[in-house]
Amino acid sequence: MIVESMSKEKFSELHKDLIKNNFVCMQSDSSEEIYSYLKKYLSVRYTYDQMPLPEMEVKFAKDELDKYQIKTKIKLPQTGLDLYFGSINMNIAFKEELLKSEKDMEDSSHLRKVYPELISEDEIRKIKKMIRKLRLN
Amino acid sequence: MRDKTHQDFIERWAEYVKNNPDWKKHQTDFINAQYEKFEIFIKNLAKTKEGQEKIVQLYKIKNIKGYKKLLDKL
Repeated sequence: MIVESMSKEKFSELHKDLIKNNFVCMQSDSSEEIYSYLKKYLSVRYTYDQMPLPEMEVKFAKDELDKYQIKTKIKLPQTGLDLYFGSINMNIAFKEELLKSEKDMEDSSHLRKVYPELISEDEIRKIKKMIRKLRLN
Repeated sequence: MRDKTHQDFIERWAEYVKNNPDWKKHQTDFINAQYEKFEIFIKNLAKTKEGQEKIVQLYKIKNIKGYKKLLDKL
């Protein structure tokens, strides 16, 4: 989960709210310490209700590409989940340009078949260019 | 894409499996939750004819008659 960078105080409120709702941070209980990870653009992980799985990875947006992911986030009603996802174009671009494993390429093909109406090849090309510039150089 | 905390997670999970006999339950619950979400998604997709056509294409279903309930619009 990429979130916009925020002040220590705002993060402290977020962390307290997560704790109040039964989340635990695996790295530390101290919001200051956790914040120090995030400010270095390292990710931290929270789990829910004392369970070891699943983990929610959280990190601050560190560059233009991360911020663009936040800007272009979408909801996917068919999933039944009231959550934001990275756009379909974003997911395809990452899988085809950065990740590129056999599974990633199959996932990308799957997304292209499920959501053809949401796909813009121009947008995918634009994101791939950003990936090459900011992740592969 | 994966930083040090991912490796930390793998080591934590390995430790958890070694020291907690109930690890399978957590893993099963997690995997089952993913199947449940998948079922919701497929049912939503199958609400329209176009969605059902996508399902046929995605899973390369040739025996459409065998899925009368899921593919009732085809």
